[in-house]
Amino acid sequence: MENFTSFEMMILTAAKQVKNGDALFIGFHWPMVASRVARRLHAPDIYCVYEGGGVERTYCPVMPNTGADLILSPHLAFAGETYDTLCGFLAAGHLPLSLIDAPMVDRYGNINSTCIGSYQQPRARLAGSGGAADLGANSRRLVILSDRTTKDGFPARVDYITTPGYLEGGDSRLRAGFRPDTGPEMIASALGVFKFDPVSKEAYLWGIYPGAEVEKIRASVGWKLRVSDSLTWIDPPSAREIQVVREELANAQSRLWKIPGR
Amino acid sequence: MNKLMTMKEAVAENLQDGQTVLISGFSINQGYAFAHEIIRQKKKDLTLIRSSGDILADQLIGAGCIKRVISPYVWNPTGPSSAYCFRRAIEKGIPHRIELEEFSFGSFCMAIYAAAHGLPFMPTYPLEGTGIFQHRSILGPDKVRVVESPFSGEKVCLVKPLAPEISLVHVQRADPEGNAQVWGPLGDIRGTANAGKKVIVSAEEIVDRAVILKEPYKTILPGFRVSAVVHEPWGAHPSDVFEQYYRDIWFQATYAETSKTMEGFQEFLDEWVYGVENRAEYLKKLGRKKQEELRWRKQA
Repeated sequence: MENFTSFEMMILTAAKQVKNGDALFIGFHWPMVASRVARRLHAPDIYCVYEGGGVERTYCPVMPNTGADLILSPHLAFAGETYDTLCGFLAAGHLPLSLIDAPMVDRYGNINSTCIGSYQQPRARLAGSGGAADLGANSRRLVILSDRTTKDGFPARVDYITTPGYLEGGDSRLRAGFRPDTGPEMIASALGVFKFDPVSKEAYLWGIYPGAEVEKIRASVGWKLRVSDSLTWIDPPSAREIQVVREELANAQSRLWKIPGR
Repeated sequence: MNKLMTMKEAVAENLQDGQTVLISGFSINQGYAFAHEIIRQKKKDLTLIRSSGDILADQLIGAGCIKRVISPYVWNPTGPSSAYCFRRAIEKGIPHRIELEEFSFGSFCMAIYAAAHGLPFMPTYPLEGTGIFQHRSILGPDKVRVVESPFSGEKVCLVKPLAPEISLVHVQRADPEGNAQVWGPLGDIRGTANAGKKVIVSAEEIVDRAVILKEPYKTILPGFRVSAVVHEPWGAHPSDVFEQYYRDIWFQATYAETSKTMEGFQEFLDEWVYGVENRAEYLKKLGRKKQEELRWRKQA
């Protein structure tokens, strides 16, 4: 078995959600790395849609700074506007999958990328939404990536809902006016993989990486974590898979991305 | 009509303290030459509207020009890193408190669209339950309103026009009359450019009208929408401009480091903003070698 980290497994697990031929919305940060891994491993024929108006059809050897980085230009099949991509292809339901990064995600899949502590007097102010709130509103299948491994990354309730998940759980998302065919499907994290209960909408542990321990994961989230009766033991990565993940992380690092553990 | 003037003239003659100003560009085509001239002229109490705040908003906030910000996010994409001046203003009130109104990017686009198209409001995507819906500052209850759709009865969120008094837009090329062209991915540039009651353009190149007429599908602003034109090569550095130059991620990374402290940020301003008279001097400082590295090239 190859050596690997749970962070690398997070990237690979997210990449495996991408099917060849998919058109998918790519949020900033780890989703960009995961889509590149997917494109190289098993999904060369995907369309990656970005909020800046570009739709990428082929692999760009240089890691872009953001989805709007013009270094992507020779690989775009479409160069339009935010009105076409975020407010068009995504909102009109033409993208079966979206990937989004979560600095903090709670038990109902709500993401906070705005502030730590109170909104009015934050201990730390983060970037804010960008298109993240719209991704939460309009994504048909939303896969959330989290590189966190401690309780502050997985609170029972986030301090601020930047990206709406299932809000207060149950049918609260529906009552707030969101479409019934939208909402988060999975959290692929550096802890393990979570899915959402169909009724309560609470995140439960669906799958764990080789070598991980359920009790450690339980102790690392801010709510009383339910574990699936048929817990999935996720396969270890192949040599090729881990090689591609590492190459893409090295690619990102060469373009000044901060990579955990490097 | 020839509307060409220098950046110094354009900002001095068109922008007053306390105005609501939109600086266009989404990640790309950011109006840095505008921003730096605003800082040099020590404009005050501006309300800044911007799709992606980026380090452009960060610099205007740190320099004390801004009273209010209306934006979906403010950050430094390289790293990614914090926008430290923005953080200091929000967390500690340094150099002074700012009021912040946040939208989702999609809702921001709808509000801009309402302004650009003379509509009383635009429907947008569901926001109820989010922090954006809950927290309101500058726009108060008018930030987002919820109505029942007259067609289906479902809940619909509405946003009102986000109409700046002036839009500042950096483009690839314009003629002296203000016919302005941008091509490549556009982000929200077409909308934010057209949302302004008054519009000022800075351009990488000034071309003859004949060049514009040859490729009119690249024009995002016809001349009658534009009040002034500034010739400003590399006016969007460190951001990128399609078929002109690539993003300077190294500059953005260095900025993240230096702007971590107020003293460091002051040094940045002294060096790159106050320390130069205009964009041409900024470019000299950036150096030929760096320009050659960043200049657009045919990619395999």
